[in-house]
Parts: sequence; C-alpha cells; structure tokens
Amino acid sequence: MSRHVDVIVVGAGPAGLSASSTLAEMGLDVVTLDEQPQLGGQIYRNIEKASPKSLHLFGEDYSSGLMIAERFRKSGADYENSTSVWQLDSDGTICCSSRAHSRQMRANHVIVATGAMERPVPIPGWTLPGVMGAGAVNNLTKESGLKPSGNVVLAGSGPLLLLEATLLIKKNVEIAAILDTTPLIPRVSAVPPAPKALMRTDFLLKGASMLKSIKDAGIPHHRGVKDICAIGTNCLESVQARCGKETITIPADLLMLHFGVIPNSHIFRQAGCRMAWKADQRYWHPACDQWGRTNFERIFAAGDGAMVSGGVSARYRGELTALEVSRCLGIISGHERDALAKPLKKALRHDGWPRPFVDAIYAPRPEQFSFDDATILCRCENVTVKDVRRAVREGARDLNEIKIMTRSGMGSCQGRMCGPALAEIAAAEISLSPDRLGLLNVRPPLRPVPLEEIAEMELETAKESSNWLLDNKK
Amino acid sequence: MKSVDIIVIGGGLSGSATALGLVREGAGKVVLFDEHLPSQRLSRGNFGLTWFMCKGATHPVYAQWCRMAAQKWPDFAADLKEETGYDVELEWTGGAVHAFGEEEFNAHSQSVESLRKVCESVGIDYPVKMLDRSEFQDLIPNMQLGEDVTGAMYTSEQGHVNPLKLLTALRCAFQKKGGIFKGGESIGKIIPHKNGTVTVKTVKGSYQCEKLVIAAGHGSTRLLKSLGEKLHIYPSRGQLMVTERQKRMLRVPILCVRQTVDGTFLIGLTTEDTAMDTRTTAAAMKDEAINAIRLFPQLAKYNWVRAWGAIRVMTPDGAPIYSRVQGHDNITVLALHSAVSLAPMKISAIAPWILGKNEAEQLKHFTNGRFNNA
Repeated sequence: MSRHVDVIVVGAGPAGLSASSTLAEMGLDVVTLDEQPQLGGQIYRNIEKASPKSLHLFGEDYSSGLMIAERFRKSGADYENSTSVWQLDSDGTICCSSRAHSRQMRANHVIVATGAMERPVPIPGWTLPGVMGAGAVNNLTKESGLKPSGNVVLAGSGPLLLLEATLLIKKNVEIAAILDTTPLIPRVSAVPPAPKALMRTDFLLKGASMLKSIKDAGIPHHRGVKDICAIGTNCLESVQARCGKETITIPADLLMLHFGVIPNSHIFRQAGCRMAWKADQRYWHPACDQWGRTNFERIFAAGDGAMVSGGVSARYRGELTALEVSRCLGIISGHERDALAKPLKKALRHDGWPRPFVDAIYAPRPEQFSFDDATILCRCENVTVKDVRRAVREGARDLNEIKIMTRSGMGSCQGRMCGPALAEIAAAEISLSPDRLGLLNVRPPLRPVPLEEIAEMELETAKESSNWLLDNKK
Repeated sequence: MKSVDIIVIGGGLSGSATALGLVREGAGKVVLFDEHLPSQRLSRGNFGLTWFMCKGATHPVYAQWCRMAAQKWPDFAADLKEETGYDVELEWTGGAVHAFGEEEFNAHSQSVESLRKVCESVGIDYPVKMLDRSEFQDLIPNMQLGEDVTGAMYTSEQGHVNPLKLLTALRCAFQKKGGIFKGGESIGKIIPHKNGTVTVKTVKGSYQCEKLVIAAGHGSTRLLKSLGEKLHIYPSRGQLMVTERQKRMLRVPILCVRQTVDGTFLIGLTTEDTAMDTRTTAAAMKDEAINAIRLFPQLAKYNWVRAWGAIRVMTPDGAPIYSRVQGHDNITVLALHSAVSLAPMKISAIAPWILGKNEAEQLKHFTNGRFNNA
C-alpha cells in the first residue's frame, strides 16, 4: 500500500538513525529505509549482532553504535531494511525496491543520510581478483568475522588506512607492507589548524598509538609512495610501487586500497540538488544550509553524505537536521529548536577540532595519482584512461560529453567507480580544476531494477478527499 | 577578432553532420561550436533508428526526404568508419512497428496503404508490408512475442545505429578534414553586418565569418529572435529506458524496443508536453515497461539500469526546418527531430545548398516561413 508520511529517512547509519530517533520521539510518522539487511551503516555495520569479540576488536568507536541502535529501536520509527531507494524527486516522492517489489512513497520531508564511500582511484591492475577496497574488507570482518590470509599489502592514504592496519594487526593478520601515498612533506595548510587539534589529546593519542602498533609489529611502512601497480595474470600476484628512486615489488595475495572517503552523493545528483565542490578534498557534496537543507525545501542531507566529517559528527548532524525538520512540520518552535541544538552544536565543535588538521595532512593532491593510459577506468563499460584522453583531444569539455563519447560512467554503477577519476584525468589534460568540467548526470534508477518490478509498481496518487464525519461510522 | 569562412553553432547531430559536409565540400575554414548545454542534449538522448517508415503521412515531400536519407545510410556509415575508425554500429536489418489486437493491426494496414499513395504522389515507392503474427515471429526467432501481438508493419530498407558513436564519429571526421571544433564555448551574440559578414561573440572571444549556420536545437530560438525571426519549433519530451546487456537476441529494431550491438535493450518512447523539463517520471517508466513486456515477455526479468529524458525539436507539421533567415541570406537555420535518420542529407544536400552550389528541389518545402501564417 502506498503511504504518505511525515519524514522518510534514507540510510540507517549514525546520521540516519539519530535523525529518525529524534523525529519519532517527537511523535512524527517516520520511515527509515536502508539498503543493508542490518542497521548501522558502514561504521556500525552489523552492530546489533556483533559478537563480544568483534565489539572488543573494533573498540569504542564501534560499540558506541549499540546505544544509537537501541535508541532507534525504542523511538517508534518504522524501519525497512534491504530497501533500496532508486529515485528521489524534489517534491519528497521516492521510489524504492525491497524484496523484489517496487513502490512509490511520499513524505513531507526527506532526510538523505547515505554516508560516505571510499574514493575510487584506478591503478593499473585494480580489476584483478585480490584487489579490494579496504572498506570492503572491514565490512566482511564486521559482518562475518572473516579475516584476510596470505600476503596482505595495504596501499593508499588517510587515517582509515592506518586504522585498518592496526585492526589487522590485532587480528594477527600478517601485513607484508603498507604503501603510504601521503606526501612526506605536509601541506602548509596543515600548520594553522594544528594547535586546535592539540586540544583533543585523546584524538592525538589514538593516532600515535596506531603508528606505534604498526611500528611494533615490524611492518614495513613505506611513505611518499607513488605509481602503485597491481600485477598478476588471472589474479593478484604482486604489488609494485615507486618509493623515492627505488621501485619495490612485493609478492601479494591481497591488496587493500584506500584513498580516503568522499560523500556518497549519487542520490542528490539524481534528484537535481545543487552540488558544491570542496576544493581542498576534491569532492562534490550537496550545497546545504547549516541544518542540512538542500536547495529543495523538502530535501535534507545529513551526515557524511552531506560532507565527510566522521561517524560521531554524523550523529550530531542527523539530530540537528531532525530538529529543523520538526520545526518545519510545526512540532517545535524555532526557539525550542535552537535550545535543543545548542549542546549538539557544542559537541559537534569539540568533535571537529582535529578535522581541519587531518584533512590538510591527507588532502588528496592530483600529483599523487598518475593515471596510466592502459588502465581500465570504467569497469562497467571497459573504458581505458587512453579513451578518455582521446575524447578530450577531440574537443569534449564536459564530463557528460566524455561519457557519451566513451561510455565511461554509462554502466550500471553510473560512474560511482570511475566518476571522480574521470574528472581528474580530463581536467589534467586541459589544465583545469575538475569542477570546471561539470558532474556526470545521475539517472534513475540508482540501483538496477528488473523491468517487471517497474511494470507492477504501485504509484502514489493523490487520494480523493472525503467528509471525515460522514465516513466515520462510529 | 578571428576571421573564418563559416561558423556552425550547435555541435549536435545536425550541426556536426552539416559541418562535416561543409569541410568535405572544401568550404574553407569552418568552426563548429558546441555549447555543451545540459538542457539541449537531444542528440545525446536519441533512440538511434535510421527510419523512414510512417513518416510524412501528411507531407509527401517529407516522406520522400526521409526515404532518400534512409537509402544513403549504408554508404554514409561506411565512409565515416573509413575516415575515423569509429564504427557507428549500423545494422541494416529493417524495422517494425508491432500491433496489439485486431484493431491496431487494421489501423497499421490502413496507414501503410495511405502512405503508399502519398509516396506515389511524389513518384517513389513505399516498401512497407504487413506481417501477420507468425511472419513477425519468424523475423525475430529469438524473441517470444507476447500473446496480444497480432503482427507488425515491416520494411527491410532501414536500420539502427549507435547515435552517440555517430555524433563522436561526425565530429572526429570534421576535425580530421581540417574543421575546428570548440566544445563548451557558448554563444553570446550574433551581429550581422551590411557588408555580408557576421560577427559571432562567444564567452571567449569574437569571430567573423562569411556564412553562419544555426543548428542549436531549442537554443536556436533565442539566437533567431535576436535576428528578428520567430523560429517555429516547440519542445516535446521523450523518455527512454535501457537495460543491462544481454546476449544478442533481437536484430530487427522495433519502434519501441531495440537491442543495441553491445546487448542492451533500449525501450521508448514517450511524447510529452513538458516544456524544457528533461526529468524522467516513474509513471512513464511504468507505462514503457508494461508496454515492452507486453510485446516481449522475456524482458520482464532483465534489469533496468538507466532512464533519461530528452527534448525533441518539434515543428507544427513534423517536417524539418532548413531555412535562410529572413533578410540574411548568409545565415541558415536547421531545426528538426529525427536528426539520426536525416544525418546523411546534411552531407548530400544541406552543405552544398549552404554553399550556394545547388539547391535540392525539396528544400523549398522546408522553410521556416511556411508556418508564418499558420
């Protein structure tokens, strides 16, 4: 049956769960839709079924999700798992698919909390079996306690790469090497935010202990690495990289790549939200006001999907968005919203102190990525870096133009895997910033849907109004 | 100010094909501007049929024009491949329009007969016949027809292509022949001078040319307005869906379903009055899916991966506008839908006409002025 609700929340990670809980606690009709079978998003993946061992392994960063999940369960928000939203319209209508059935729903407001994804960076050989995103490996651990075996190499940049390494060490996985592409000399922009980061000693200690555990485990940690290649015939056999003037080759069974995280923004782009370019982190995010409101009155963005700032921040931002939505729906006054927001904003500031420092240190730099002509850029359509360069040479000055010429970004993932690199490659060819080349259009459906599901879909239609007094037989 | 011989505004299919025709004719220095405007991507949203069937029922010269275009397609595609290496994936396998039920079948029969008469009036044949259900089934043995299908109208003398490859190949060939392509450079102003030259101001600079061709889709309206002429076109939205790749099963394109060379099924098409709104709607997706499954039940299980909307350039009688701008004999406007089907005519007829070499007799029927008193 089709429904009209107060708020649809898309995503059940920290932002989505907190937003849903806050709204439902105010008595609003909330439906939380999430594509995973278990709530928690990426950071709190499988939290409700986590074993004591898993809770211990991932520590407080993970186990704090228990409280968030518990609050959500008690809040009265409707929760639909394994449900993919495949279309969002600016008027608050969504189409979603669950259990081989598609339907349309309408809400007065939609809060999109789709979180972050790992920045995909194509390297030579990245399509070989044995090359995985570090996040995917992390997910397997949270979901089923799996751990990698054989020769494991970690490569890329960012705090999560080091965090992943320390988790693997705790699990007694032997790491053959860490190939860190973070430049040896930090950016000048890292200096001004450094003192603020010092105010969070807990945070700095965490960073130091990660580095210590890597050092104590005796893992070769190569820094300032460039030109990482995955080598193998049918599957990964070794990893090659340039380290200063030296080229190193490491036999490997598993290469875990991680180049930082970016907002998972496809749904905003499909809906037509105005996007903004974050120049220092080189990613697009929906342009929002302080409450997460996009350019569409009914559509809000919360958490890392709006801008990457981590799980703790996402929780606060989810609540802040919910407060403003409650005000829009007339449940609380502006005054009350501000009063309730005050402690949240304070906590958010505290959490955010180290962020500019970390961001500056790990800020992606175009020179870190050297794209090789023969590398497959678009895995769905088998498009190489060379094909893209040819399209630019033939006059394409817009990513969508390159897309139609090469098919890069035209496959079922709609450019999730190739889009950011496509922009970097094309922009480098004509010495422009990637944002000057536009953004790949994202079309419905956001996830492939069988045609029969569309054919049988229930459409939300305006119901005829009737006289409630006469209809009410009591 | 840069001085060139001819400027073509609009890097879509019609503009690119015309520009290629011009350089092939040795027209001198030709510059093609493509604005890359997100709303005007009709050449990127095309279904990809090279089609004459059903066209021109009320306009005999247009029927003739479409047929002439279709006949030129095999050579046109071969030339492009030789020049650029781009294969536009032409399959000259005919085309069909299915019928559900007896009534629709009879209506199709009548339309075939009436178009045959229209074509006779301009001295051409109309090689289209009706197929009953079993004949239609034999034509496409790997696709099981749905039970409501009663037959189809069919011709063997047309086909389908990859419209995106076509656009890419046209622009590549144009540049290989010495043409200058400028992507992402939009046009601010057109200033005609008394001495017969025209200044075109773009965001990046000014150009002076002897002749100007305006083929900017719905953007042409604005450009012509500044020259004091009303362009008689209106927007009409079409929505399309595409599935994941499957093994090749359907070699003959059907008006609403075709399988591309790389295996995806394209499903279309709507005709909607939504002004310049290119969005897709769940309601249209549902209708198209129902229709496609009714025709070919096996499509039900295939995954739909993408939908898009594009805004056709429609004219009141459906035929193209190829017209000199009033008072400016050196400025030509091209405004039409079916730019894929008609692309070869840009080479064979439109480019020579722009250069004043010869004028195909049909062209006098395609002026913008024909709508002035309507």
